[in-house]
Amino acid sequence: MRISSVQQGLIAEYEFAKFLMVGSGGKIELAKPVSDDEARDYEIHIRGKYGMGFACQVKSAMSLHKMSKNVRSINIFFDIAVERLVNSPFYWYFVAYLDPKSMGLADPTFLIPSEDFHRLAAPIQRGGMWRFSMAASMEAKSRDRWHTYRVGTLELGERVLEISRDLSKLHPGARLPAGLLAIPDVLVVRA
Amino acid sequence: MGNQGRSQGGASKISDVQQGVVTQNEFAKLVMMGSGGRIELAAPLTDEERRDFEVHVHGRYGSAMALQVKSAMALTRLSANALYLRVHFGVRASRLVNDPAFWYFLAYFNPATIRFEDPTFLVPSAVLHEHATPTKKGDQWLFTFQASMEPGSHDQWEPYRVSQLALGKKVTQVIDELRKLRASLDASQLLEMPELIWARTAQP
Repeated sequence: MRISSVQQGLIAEYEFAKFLMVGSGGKIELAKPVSDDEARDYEIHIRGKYGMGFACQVKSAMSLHKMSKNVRSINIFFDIAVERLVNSPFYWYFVAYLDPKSMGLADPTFLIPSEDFHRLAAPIQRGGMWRFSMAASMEAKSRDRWHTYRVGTLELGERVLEISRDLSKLHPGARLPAGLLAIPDVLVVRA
Repeated sequence: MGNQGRSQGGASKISDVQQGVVTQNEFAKLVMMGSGGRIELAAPLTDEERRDFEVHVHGRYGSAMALQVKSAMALTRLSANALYLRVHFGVRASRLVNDPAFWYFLAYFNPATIRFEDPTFLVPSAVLHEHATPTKKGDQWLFTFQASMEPGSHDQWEPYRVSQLALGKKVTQVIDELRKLRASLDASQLLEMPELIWARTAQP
């Protein structure tokens, strides 16, 4: 008997949250939306910081595919209604293999900005739906299109802190109103 | 939520609440996956009874066990070669539950590997309350669970050791045994009924 897809989804989310919380030394906080109708599994922010955060959708597989004799890949397929597709720097996908033997996520995992994911995961539009298929090599030496998004499970916390810092520069609150710079004698000092 | 005991060392900077959530989720994962999805866990909406989870077999009603998760994020060295899992906690005397269906799960969560380390411990509440050096202080019972993590150890907690990958099967077994216990208790009440006649088919 294998676990249900609901159990699998929940466990993959737990694993992701665990690696973020512990791997960041407790700096990362995760929140689950009360209603799940925006395809966000978690809202992620740095503890004590308000107004800056990003959303993440967790996708998992419990088996790997053999692409060739020595190459195993993780394959993820899903459909999403056209009007619900979100392309935002503040919306990311986390993709991982949940190994039934070790009962945990296996390395590598993948953290992918939504815009990159939607472009690279062989998008096909059919009717009112987008279909995405991701096939990423799990082999250490692979240089496939997904290799730049690889993250080791123990590095996930640090990587998400780095993403949060980068995103905070993009955040509307971090940009100065254009008119401010036009005022003579205004000095802008940043920390 | 904080399921950890006190004085666990400073190995991790995560908060007590985070530690509680992470270790409860880790336990739930191991039980779900290790039972092949047969075990379902439910978290009480109000945490007033010291139950972290109600655990039952999928599709089966009326037989469940309750569990309290306790964890430490550092081990204690009690001699040159012996590392111990040490969990210290207090319970208000009025809230102490000794019931065959109430169990403790205790484990060391290793912050370096970000998962539990073997062995973990699954202990009936009555056994833990009796053997974890109970001390009464005011209206509180204080307990110190101290178990060797060494593979060859034969300390008092050895019978309750479970490898994390075997947790799902062990929990299933405990629930099955609790079900039999309840059935035999129910049957024993029959003996108190007046004018009851036992009938058996003749053995050849």
